Amino acid sequence: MRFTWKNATDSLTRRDTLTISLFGALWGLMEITVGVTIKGLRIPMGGAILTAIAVMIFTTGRYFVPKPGATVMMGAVAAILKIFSIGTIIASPFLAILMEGLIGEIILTVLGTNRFSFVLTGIVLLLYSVLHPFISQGIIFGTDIYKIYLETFKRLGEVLHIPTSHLLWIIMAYAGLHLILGFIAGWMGFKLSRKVEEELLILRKQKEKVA
Amino acid sequence: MKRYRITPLILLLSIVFINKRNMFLLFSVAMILSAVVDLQALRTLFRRKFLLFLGILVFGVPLFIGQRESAFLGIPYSHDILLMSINMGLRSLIILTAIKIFTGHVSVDQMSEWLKKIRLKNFSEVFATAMHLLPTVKEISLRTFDEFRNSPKRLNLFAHVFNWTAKLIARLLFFAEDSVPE
Repeated sequence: MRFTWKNATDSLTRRDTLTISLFGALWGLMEITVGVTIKGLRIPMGGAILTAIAVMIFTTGRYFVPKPGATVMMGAVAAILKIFSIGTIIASPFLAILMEGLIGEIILTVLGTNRFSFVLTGIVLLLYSVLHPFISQGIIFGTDIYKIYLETFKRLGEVLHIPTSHLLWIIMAYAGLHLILGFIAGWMGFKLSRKVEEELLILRKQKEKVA
Repeated sequence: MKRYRITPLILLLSIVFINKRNMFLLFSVAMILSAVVDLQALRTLFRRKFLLFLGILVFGVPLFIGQRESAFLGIPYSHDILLMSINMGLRSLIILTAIKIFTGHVSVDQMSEWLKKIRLKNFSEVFATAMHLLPTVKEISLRTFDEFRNSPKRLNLFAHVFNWTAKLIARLLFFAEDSVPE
């Protein structure tokens, strides 16, 4: 049978739906509470930290519902909850969360739920968070903004007497920092999934004992 | 309500045709149209951070970048880069106004309705369940957070937070299992 989102999400059980809703709600709550705190405290690389936490949440969610469509639905729930909290629709955070869900969905659907796919999802999403401002500025200001950035970059090198290659290294280091954070987020996402599984077993045993 | 969807479309369409020759004319027409349709939308353009960025882009960048063959009050600047920067600035103002007019008149319910239509068949059910579960998620999260605060602190704070996060998610999943037996 040909793959479509429709037949993919057809296979969701009632419990799957409930689990996706729970993780979507958890992701949304995290975006609202932690997001506001990070923004309020003006923590450096706040967006990257928020993305890393989101990766840990939705990869864990995907571990328990390893079906196509699950991650993008968690993202959609989280995005709507986020705009509910703001009270009005602000395009940027809404689209950013949807994009996170979509990118995560594509990688996890293609590679399945395993440590490698979780780590790759983390890395790709964190690197995307570096590019996101440039993409959105390209849309708003047009492609000429890239010329300005490039010229500014060259001029800065001239003024500071730093070769362009050295400035490139600084950018590479910044991207590298995101890459490491993405790796950790994906790795922790997988580790967290296993730990949750263990905790869930304990809770089930406790319930059996009580019964 | 239609005007709040058609006007942003017209504004975005005008972006395709904007160039250095017609930018002031197109920008003036776009702003007059926006003011007539939704005056409030123009308020978004007066954010300090955005105006600062725009100021640097239009007035700062031509002083440092490009061939500075022109001069104003003895200050050399690049005429080409100035025109390019003004074009970008006006373009951004039109786009942001279009987005504001559109999003300012779309309710969250409408947005979730649209998401339901994008062939994610179960999304309406998922979203309704999420809204229904939100107080429970909040309650379980707060209860777990209280327990976390009162629990004996370990030397490795990271491991401590990690374990309690796992506990929280396990409790949420356990709640789901309890609610819907497979």
